[in-house]
Amino acid sequence: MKHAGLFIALVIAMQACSPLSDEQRMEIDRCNDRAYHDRYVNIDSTMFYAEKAERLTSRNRYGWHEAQINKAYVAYQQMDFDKAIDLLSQVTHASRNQFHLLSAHVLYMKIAQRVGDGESFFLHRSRALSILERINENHEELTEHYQRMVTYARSELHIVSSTYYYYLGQDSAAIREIDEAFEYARDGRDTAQWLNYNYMVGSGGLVRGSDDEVTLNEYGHLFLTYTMSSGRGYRYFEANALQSLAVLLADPARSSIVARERASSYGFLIAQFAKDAPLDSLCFAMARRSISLFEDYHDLYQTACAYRTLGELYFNRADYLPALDAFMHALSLVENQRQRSRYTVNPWMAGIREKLSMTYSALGNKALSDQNRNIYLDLLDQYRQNYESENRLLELKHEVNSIRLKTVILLVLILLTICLSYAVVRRMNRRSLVRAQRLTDFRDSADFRALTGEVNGIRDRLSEEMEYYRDTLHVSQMHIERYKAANVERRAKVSLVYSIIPYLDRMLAEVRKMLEDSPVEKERLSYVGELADEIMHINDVLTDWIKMTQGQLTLHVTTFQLQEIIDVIALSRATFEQKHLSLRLPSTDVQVKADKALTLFMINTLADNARKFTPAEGCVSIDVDAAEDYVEIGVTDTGVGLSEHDCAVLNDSKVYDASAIGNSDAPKGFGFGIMNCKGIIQKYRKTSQLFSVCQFGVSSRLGEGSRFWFRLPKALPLLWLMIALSCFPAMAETDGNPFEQMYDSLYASNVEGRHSHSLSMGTDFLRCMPVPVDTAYAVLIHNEIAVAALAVGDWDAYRRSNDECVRLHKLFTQDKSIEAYCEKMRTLQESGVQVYVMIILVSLVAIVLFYLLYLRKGLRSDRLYSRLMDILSAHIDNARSHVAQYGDVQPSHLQQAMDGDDFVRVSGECRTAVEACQVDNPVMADAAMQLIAEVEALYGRVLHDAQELISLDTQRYKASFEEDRLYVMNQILDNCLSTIKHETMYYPARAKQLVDGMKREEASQEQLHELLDLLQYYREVYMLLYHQAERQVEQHSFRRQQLAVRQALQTFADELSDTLRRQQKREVSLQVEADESLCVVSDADLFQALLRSLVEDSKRQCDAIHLHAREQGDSVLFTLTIHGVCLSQEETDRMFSPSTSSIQCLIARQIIKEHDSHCRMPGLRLYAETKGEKAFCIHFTLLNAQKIKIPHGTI
Amino acid sequence: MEPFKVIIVEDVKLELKGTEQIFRSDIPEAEIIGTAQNEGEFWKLMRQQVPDLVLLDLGLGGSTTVGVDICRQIRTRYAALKILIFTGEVLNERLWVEVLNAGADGIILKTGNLLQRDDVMLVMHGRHYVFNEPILEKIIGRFKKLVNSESDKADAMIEYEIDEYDERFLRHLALGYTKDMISSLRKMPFGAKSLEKRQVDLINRLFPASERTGVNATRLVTRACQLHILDVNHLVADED
Repeated sequence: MKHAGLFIALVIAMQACSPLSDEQRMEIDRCNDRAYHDRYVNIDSTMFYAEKAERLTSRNRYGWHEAQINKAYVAYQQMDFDKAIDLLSQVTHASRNQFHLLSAHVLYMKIAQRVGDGESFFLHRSRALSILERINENHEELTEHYQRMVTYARSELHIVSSTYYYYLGQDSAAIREIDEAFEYARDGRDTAQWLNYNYMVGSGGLVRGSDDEVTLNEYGHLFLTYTMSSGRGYRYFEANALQSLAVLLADPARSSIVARERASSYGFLIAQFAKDAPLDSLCFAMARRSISLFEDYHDLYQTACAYRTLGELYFNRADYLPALDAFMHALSLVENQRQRSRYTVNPWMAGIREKLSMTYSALGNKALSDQNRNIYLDLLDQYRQNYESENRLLELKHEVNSIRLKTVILLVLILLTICLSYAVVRRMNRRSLVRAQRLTDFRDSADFRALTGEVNGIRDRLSEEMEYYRDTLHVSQMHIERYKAANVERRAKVSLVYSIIPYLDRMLAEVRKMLEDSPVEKERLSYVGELADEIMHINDVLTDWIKMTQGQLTLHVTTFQLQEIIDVIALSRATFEQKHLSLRLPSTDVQVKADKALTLFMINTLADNARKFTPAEGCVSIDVDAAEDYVEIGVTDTGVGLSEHDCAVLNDSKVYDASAIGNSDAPKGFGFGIMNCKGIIQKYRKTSQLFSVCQFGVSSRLGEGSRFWFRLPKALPLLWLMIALSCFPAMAETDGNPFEQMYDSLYASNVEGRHSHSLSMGTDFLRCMPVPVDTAYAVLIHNEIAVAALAVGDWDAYRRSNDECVRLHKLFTQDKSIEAYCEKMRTLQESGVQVYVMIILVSLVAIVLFYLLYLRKGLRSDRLYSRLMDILSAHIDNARSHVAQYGDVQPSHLQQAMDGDDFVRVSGECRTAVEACQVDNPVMADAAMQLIAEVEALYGRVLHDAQELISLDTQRYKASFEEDRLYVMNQILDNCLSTIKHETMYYPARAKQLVDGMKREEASQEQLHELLDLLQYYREVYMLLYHQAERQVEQHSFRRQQLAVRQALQTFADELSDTLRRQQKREVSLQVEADESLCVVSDADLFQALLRSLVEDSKRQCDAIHLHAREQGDSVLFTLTIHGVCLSQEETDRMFSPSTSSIQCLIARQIIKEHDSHCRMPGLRLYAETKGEKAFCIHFTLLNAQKIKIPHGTI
Repeated sequence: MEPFKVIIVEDVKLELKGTEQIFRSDIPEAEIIGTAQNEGEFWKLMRQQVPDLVLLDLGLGGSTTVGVDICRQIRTRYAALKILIFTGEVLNERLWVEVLNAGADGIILKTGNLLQRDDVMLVMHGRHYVFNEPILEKIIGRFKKLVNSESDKADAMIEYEIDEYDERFLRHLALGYTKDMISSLRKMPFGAKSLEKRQVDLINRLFPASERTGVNATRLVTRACQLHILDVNHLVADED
């Protein structure tokens, strides 16, 4: 038995090795040709003949590879891509036959196109084109069999490429490819390819012209495909043509054109499919026939597509339930395929999901509709991402060419180097140069040049980085200047609030007096009324002022990862550990749309409160909970907790006595932090509908701990839309962008379920869309309109918006990808150049070593020379290795490098070694020493730049911190002032009403008590709110520095002159008169703000402004004479009093007050007086810096 | 009480009216010889007639602190003249100290019961440091805090058994002295090694067992301040 088995194996092996006869070869070719021919006729037949051919030959022998390609085609049609790729890889690995390889690569392209693998597509396309180039040279000598294979490959390559570009949205490229395919498909030798071409052209999107022309042209191609394929048994194309014809004729407009212009062929179709049936059943009959043909043909992909087409026909006829059945059937086929293979066909699935979304919407099932739409959008995005690398292979080819060129250049350079070395040796032989000169020449050495190059490279990088840092620092400083001016304005408002308190106290005192004295003096009563009037007047000024700034949207709304904020909070872990508390932080990928600085402030405030009120060994944890349209951020502690009453006060009261919150055993907090957090949430809610989800709350039980939480809107839920936004992070900032405002409104409207409103609003916006179009937001707006249209069942609007949305998204992401890729390629090219430069340098070093080791060996001076050269080489190597540490220009790395830097020590050792040679040859030693000094200088420059960069980074960090601090302070002050305005406006008016009542009749004790109670409550509430604002004012923004008066005045005069010229188109004479040496103690930003405030009210009327400064004791007296403006004595007297109605004067007053309190020299003046008939002067004093000996710079 | 002459310096007319009313009804001995709304008007009045009392507001017009400077000038030129500050700066404690340094006889805040006859009379009788109730409350609050702080210090000394050498050692550590420098102080009979041991001993006394690991001199000094053993406001080196 064993022997029999061996014998059979031997016979098979002999057969395998024996050459094939011509008859056998012909039979194999016949089988393979038949398998190829039956591809679109009967897939089972193809398989049969392919397997037969395989049996006739043996592995890797004649015809075997072709049989594998035919089998791979069958696997491809049945969507068994794994098997198809496996079979094709056997061919590409084993075959050297260019025709088989060509066919395999083309089939690879078809697979790649279908699964959306752009990189693989271009890889195989490139290989196929290379083979075709080679074949072209010998085309005439090919056998008929191979000529058929080449013709097929050419036409198929262009048809597949056309399909690929068509799905990518690159219509012009798709048309170009299909035109190319025509050249090869038309020769008539391959009917299948001719049908393939006609079907592709007829199936839509590749014909240009008027609507009628396009319809007739496409119809013509499809009808031709149908008649030819049905006559010759090409079931695949017959089914495809019927499916496309069904879609075309389902459109009533197109159908009527065909019926009118192509009556005979149209009649033929009716006779075939709707002979005795109503006309509208034609499309359904064709679609059903198409399904039946595809099922017979065993084409899973096309069967699903045909079901989808049938579903669409039902949908268009508003038969939603049958449509749903058809789509679900298509989906079940897709799901089956997905379970079988790791490859999925995303557009295939996406199309079905979109239709399901529409059908569910039409059936009124919004939840399933939304679910399917989200899957649809995600699939589109995945498909799009697969295509992102589409052009890389072409670029790679260019890069290869470029590298070839570089290689040639490199060879030339090496040749030049060798020639140069030869010339140098000859020159050295001829001339006896002194060694010192050679040492001096060392600075031309490769090492030294490499060092110089590296130093320059690093310095360039450092310089670039420094420039970037300087720019960001400058931006932060500009923000600080703006926020500082805004801050002083808010401080002035707080001062105005403060100025009410004395009036209030006087009212209280007067009322108490009246209660003691009886009867009530009318004069006293009217005085109380006047005080109430004055308070109301100040309240009015404050209200006007707050109203003026309400229109300015100051929130910096961006979309950001909450994890970034959590990471900052994690930095304060040590403060919790000091109190023996554990801090638990979540890890989250949730994004929110809010103000980042304010969110950090809120979480920080809540965490800080939790830390204060939690006893040792307790725990503070932060949690993030994402709901459908908001994110809830909670801070939980295991601390003392709050009573039910306290919770109710915190949750429901606008104003409360924060110091009364908490139980008697535990420490009580000011609670202003919580008030501020609530204020911020209120501000969000007032800003936009989008923030209607914002809330703040607390839940707590006494002794068990508390949980403070707030909600912010969740950023967009769809991944691909977030990608679109992240491409333009700056655009997310609220800056009045009409696209963003519209998107916010649409999004909010859709979230609230007002879809009709969204649809009409979006349509109106698109009708008069502003230019330039903001593509990122246009994508989002179209998507929101599509969602709204889907919900209300407006299918035309849905299709328009959805198509536009997908088109814009493709364009948008495509551009971005290619641009980024080009940038990457550029960097790679540069790196390539650097590598070759390094090789050249190594060659030069080799020459130098050759010179050192051989040419001068044996001479006495050589030893010294060689030693010095070694020292210098080592020194340069050392310098290079040290310099390399500064290659990473991140400040933290630079600081690390500087901390571990021992170059000074190493350099000192080199100097000592060279000094030791001084006795033997001082000239050479001096030359070497000079070189060492040069290396040190080079190194010193890098070190200097690194230090400067670190310093800039520190400044940048400080400026950014200051910017955020001022911004948050201003926001909170706004909230405080707004609360004061709202909560206390009522009381003075009521007091005035009571007083008026008492004036009319005799005031009774009860009335006086009522007035007293009212005023006491008013003061209590007022002081409470004032203290909240005052705590913010305690943080300073004043930066005390020595300011050169003349320069500061001149800067102001230049800016004012420029402003007046631009705004009013007129020249105002501005004269500055001040001694060059005069200096004051001030804050540069506030000084300019002070001058701006002083001239703001009169700059529009004035003819000339004279700025004068002179020394006056310990102060410098500034006088601004404003000509052309007439003010009375009373007006100048009142100008800076609290009762003035000029907001600018109040700001100026506040700035002087800031100087008073920060220079520790009370008594600074600010007053105005008239000067003649048409002028007035404003005088103010600041501290003279020269008198109090304050050093230069910030103190 | 003998009649006396007053000048009121007040820039807000409405407030001036109320103040005049107080004088008319409660202090009839006072003769208001003039009122000034700004610095210029005040010095003009002074040149015309010197009063016995100036009731001075600190903020006039655009300047919120000019009263301090006016007060200083009055004290320089008219040493015997009484100056009573009547101000709405109810929270600015630093300004109160400035104006007292400038020579004011008292400060009455425009809150609570405002200007009382008794307060004016006390000033006219030559009393210095006359304040109304809100200021007195603050002064008493600060005083209590100071006394409590001293008591805390005494308690801490006893509780943690701090002797004069411990206190001196901690105080000089806080001032940045090294142990060698401290050991060379005249009133310190210990060498550097002994001070090392004393430092370990102090750590054991001032920190609970769970917190003693890794405590250095800085942390020790900070703890001493927290426990009121050292007063950060009175860190002075021994005179050698």
